Amino acid sequence: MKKKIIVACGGAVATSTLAAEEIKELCQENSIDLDLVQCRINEINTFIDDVDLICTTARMDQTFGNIPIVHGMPFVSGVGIEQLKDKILSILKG
Amino acid sequence: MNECQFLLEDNIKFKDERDALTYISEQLQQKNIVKKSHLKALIEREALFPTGIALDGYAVAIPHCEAEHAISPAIYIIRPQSPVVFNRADEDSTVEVSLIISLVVTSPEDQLNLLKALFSNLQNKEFYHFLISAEANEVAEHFKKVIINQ
Repeated sequence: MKKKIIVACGGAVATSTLAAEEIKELCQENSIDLDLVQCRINEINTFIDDVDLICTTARMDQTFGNIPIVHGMPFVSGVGIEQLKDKILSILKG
Repeated sequence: MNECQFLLEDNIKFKDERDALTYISEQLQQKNIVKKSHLKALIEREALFPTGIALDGYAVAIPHCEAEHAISPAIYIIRPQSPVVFNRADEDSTVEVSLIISLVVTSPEDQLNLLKALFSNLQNKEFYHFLISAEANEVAEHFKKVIINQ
């Protein structure tokens, strides 16, 4: 089944572009069919229908019902990247 | 697409983060790299979504704003005289940075490879130490080779 992921940051310019690219690669490697939306944090609501996972590279205090949210900063800093990938995979495959 | 320009400046003294952002934007405006609207956008963006990034034992800040305020792509590195405090992007705390890398992005898709190369290299401690300690012309040469013209 196709998984829908939102990748969001403050301006959809730098860090979320990078996180989106990493997630695309991760899903490709694991044969996960992906529908990826890249947007700004304040646009998340527009794309929220049927979302399986939200990944943000900025701080976000908001929640969206019980949709899982992961922090994508490890994709930028490299710190904790393997744990993050495992977490994303367990959410998508769960 | 315009080629990405590389700028580097050393030993600038900043009072605080806002002072640094103002300086960066003024310099970029003078060089016709960003529009007048860039200053306000950069400051607002940093306040709402800070760009201090904690790497493994060191930190950098990558102030930038939306593409609409940019005229042509650039990477502007500043090595301040003393570390500047930036808020962290991912949590409610601060980092002291000795390296500010301001990004002027005109099209995220076109500059994806550049961003990827920049961040994957920044994760490398040796690359970071080279950036903060090498002579300006060496940094410029190396940076152009591995990041801009990879």
